[in-house]
Amino acid sequence: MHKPWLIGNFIYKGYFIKAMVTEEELANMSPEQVQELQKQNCIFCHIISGKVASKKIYEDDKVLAILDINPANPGHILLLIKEHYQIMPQIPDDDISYMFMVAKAISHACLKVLKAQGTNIFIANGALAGQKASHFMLHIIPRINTDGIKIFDLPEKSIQENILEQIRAGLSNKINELFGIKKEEPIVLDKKPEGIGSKTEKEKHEEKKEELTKKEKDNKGKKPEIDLDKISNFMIKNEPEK
Amino acid sequence: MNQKNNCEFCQIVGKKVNAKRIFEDEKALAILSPHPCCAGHILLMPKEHFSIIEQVPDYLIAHLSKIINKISIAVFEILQAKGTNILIQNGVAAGQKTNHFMIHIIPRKENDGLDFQWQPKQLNEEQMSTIELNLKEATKGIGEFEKEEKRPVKLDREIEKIDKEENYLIKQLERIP
Repeated sequence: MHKPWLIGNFIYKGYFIKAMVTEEELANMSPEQVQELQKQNCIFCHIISGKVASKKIYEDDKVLAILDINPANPGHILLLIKEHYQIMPQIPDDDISYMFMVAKAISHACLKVLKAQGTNIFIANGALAGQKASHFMLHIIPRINTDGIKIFDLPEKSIQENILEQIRAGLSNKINELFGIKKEEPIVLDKKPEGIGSKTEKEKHEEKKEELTKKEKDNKGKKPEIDLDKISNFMIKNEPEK
Repeated sequence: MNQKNNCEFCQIVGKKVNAKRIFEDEKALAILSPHPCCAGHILLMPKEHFSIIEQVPDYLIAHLSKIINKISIAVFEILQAKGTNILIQNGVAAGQKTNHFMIHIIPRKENDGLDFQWQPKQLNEEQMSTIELNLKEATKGIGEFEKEEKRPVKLDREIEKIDKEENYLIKQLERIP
């Protein structure tokens, strides 16, 4: 018995896109074939190829901009990359840069033509971030003061200093690693670099105590010798500076 | 200039104000937001002062977006985020609170209390068509992007020096009868 296996099915604005593939078939597929299947079931790939009608704003060989049919605001634009990618980390740097440059130009057009007072450029990366389709896209939403959209006003939270510091250190290392930069963490002043002052004050204090007690034991029974050189050295050292 | 002096983020760039720096190069700076909406809320900004995206040169946007890509990979791996939101607030009407252009990168986790779902607005066919036509007309010019002018650095001076020395030598030569 083959169970029907759903892959790449989702609801996009009233379209229910579904593909039935058996589990066995899926297991035998190469990653390229799986990708091809996802592509076949992607409504935005159909829009790009022209099989599904849309209101196209701008098109070139890399990207396509269309009007969202359920807009947050009049003039809400979706900027799609023609190649099928699900999330941002899959996309090559050059394509991402190209998308952002086109987004800037479209945002400019919104300000000019739609008399918008501002724009939001928004990316939802991953289902938990609000991504609804499996095709990567960038939203450009024209805004006016009185439109009543409040979701893009970011709230403020207070977060503990040590957690922030932990996040900072982790991210900083990882990003520098991704860029191939070897960056040493700046030395924090209240910690001494290792090797020089690795022993803490307490330990040092205890060591001194031990030494003193040893000397006391050794000197028991002996008459204390008076070393004039030692005394003179001691005096010179402790002479107050003028 | 006055705007720049009053700008909180220009002061952070100039290291007059402390911030949790994550990444820095000659053109851009990424910090943890001083007013975070969640743990790991990152601000990425150009070091030069711009108010809105329209003022930022294309090549700088390209540069910033490459950094966004790297940051979002790092956020996925280090913070175990299940998703990221990238947001640009362009203009006061769009929720911009600071005068310095910046890109928000917001790591998302389950039940983090954030919500970027909008209520769809209903537009009729005619309204959509007019918007389509207007925008189509306005986006015709897209395609040529500014490229960074590469300025030769320091090399000029060295060449000048050599020139002067050569001239001096030539003069010396000329003096020899």
